[in-house]
Amino acid sequence: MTFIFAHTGHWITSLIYAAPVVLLVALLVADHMRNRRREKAKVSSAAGPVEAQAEPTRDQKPHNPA
Amino acid sequence: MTRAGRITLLVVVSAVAALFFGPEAIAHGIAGRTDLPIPRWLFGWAAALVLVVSFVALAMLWPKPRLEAARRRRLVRIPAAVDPICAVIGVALFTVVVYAGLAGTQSAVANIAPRFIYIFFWVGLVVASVAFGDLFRLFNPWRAIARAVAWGIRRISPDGLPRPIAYPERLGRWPAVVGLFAFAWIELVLPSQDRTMPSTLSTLALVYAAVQFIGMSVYGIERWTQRGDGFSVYFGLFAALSIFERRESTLYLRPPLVGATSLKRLPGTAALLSVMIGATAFDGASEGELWRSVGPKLQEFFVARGAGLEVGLELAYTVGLLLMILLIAGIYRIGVYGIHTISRDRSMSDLSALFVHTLIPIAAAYVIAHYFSLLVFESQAASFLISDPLGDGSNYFGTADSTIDYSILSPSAIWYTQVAILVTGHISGLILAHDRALKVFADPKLAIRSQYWMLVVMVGFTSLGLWLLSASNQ
Repeated sequence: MTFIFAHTGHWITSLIYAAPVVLLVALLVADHMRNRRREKAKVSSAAGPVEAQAEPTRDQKPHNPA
Repeated sequence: MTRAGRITLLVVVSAVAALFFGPEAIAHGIAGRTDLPIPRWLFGWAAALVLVVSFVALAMLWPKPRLEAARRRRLVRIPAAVDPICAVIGVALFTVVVYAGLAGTQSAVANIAPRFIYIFFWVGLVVASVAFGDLFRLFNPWRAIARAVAWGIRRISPDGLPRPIAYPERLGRWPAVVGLFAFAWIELVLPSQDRTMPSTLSTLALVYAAVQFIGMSVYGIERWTQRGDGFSVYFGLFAALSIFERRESTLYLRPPLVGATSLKRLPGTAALLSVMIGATAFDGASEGELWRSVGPKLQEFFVARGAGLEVGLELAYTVGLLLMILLIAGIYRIGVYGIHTISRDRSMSDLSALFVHTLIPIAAAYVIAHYFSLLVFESQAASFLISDPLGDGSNYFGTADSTIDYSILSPSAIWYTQVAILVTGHISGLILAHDRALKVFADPKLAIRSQYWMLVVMVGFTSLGLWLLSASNQ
């Protein structure tokens, strides 16, 4: 790989052209991750009461007088 | 004002500021090597901002697909004599160029063949196709010869020609991909003395014509011309952007870009457009610093493995060309993948075929912007080449002593025009993608979300294009 870096100084400044693309990609990735977090949160909040119904707590269990 | 409205207003104001006030404000603060008021990379940033603004504007102001159902207006009936006259002109031009290349001087500057092929045909006809429609179809010499031969045989033999073989659907536009790649390879990879040698070009033109005759005789003239002939497909795609459309013998007027929406979805179209954009991109990149660093090392790599110096250089350029084409195809694939994340029920190849027409204006912008100065300056050579096509001292029209005026355009004017062409091409790509998304997705919000990654693709292509232009202009 040394040959690629041999004259890096000559063209590395050209990367400044890519800045808008990098910024847009970063924004999109951030948006994507935020959406995924929201979806996960929605799923877990929706699943909570269902689990509670399926697995009643000790206090909710019917009293057995025997 | 809503949050979205405030963001939109902010983006619009920023874009306007960057384009109009930015250059003035910074103009005196930077002492560049050129006479541009701002560094070239800032044009890239401003262009990206213009694309983002255009995207927002499309989202707000373009809620329904318009292009797909746009109406054509009947303009004029084309006289029956136009086709044969244009065909004769096309064949005559082809004959003159091939003859000049074989019989004329072998100087690339004095002989008409190199300039005719690389400037008037390869670049000039792109501009003409975008402006006036599919002119190459009218003047295509090998199609004209094949049609004349078929007509002659029908007159002689009552049975006519045997029926052509059905063109395999899976071949799609792949033969055109091969033809165009071969031309790009000759133009960009062959050593300068070979690729501009008039006799070599004439021989290659005859070989190409022979291949087309075989293709047309096997699969039929029209089917092969529309799918297998690289140049017919190449110019036909650019003609799809034109406001003129010919159907049978009638000329219609249509809104710009509309023709691209009716592009037939055939295998190989994305590869074809990647070759079209990649070849121009590599032409620019090969004149830049990055390639000047990497190219010789690649050549050394091949020479160290037994290739000669010349073959090593050709291999290095071939690798560069292929990598650029793959890069272009990869960038487009990213955009398609972005749409796929919104529409999982559609396959990637299905979505790729649905949106591939958005690359046509980008290809046009790349070609016209990159070769703009070449076209402006070198097309002036027509005045002396027409008087002395063989370069043997003739002066048929008395213009053999005319010269090229290189002061006709300043470097700044060229740069501004190139930027304008690139930005226009990419906004056109955004419009096509937006319009198609509205048709594909019933929900407009989903359609806009699906285009986020296409925006990245367009900004990516714009930034790449401006970087390449700045590299080749320095």
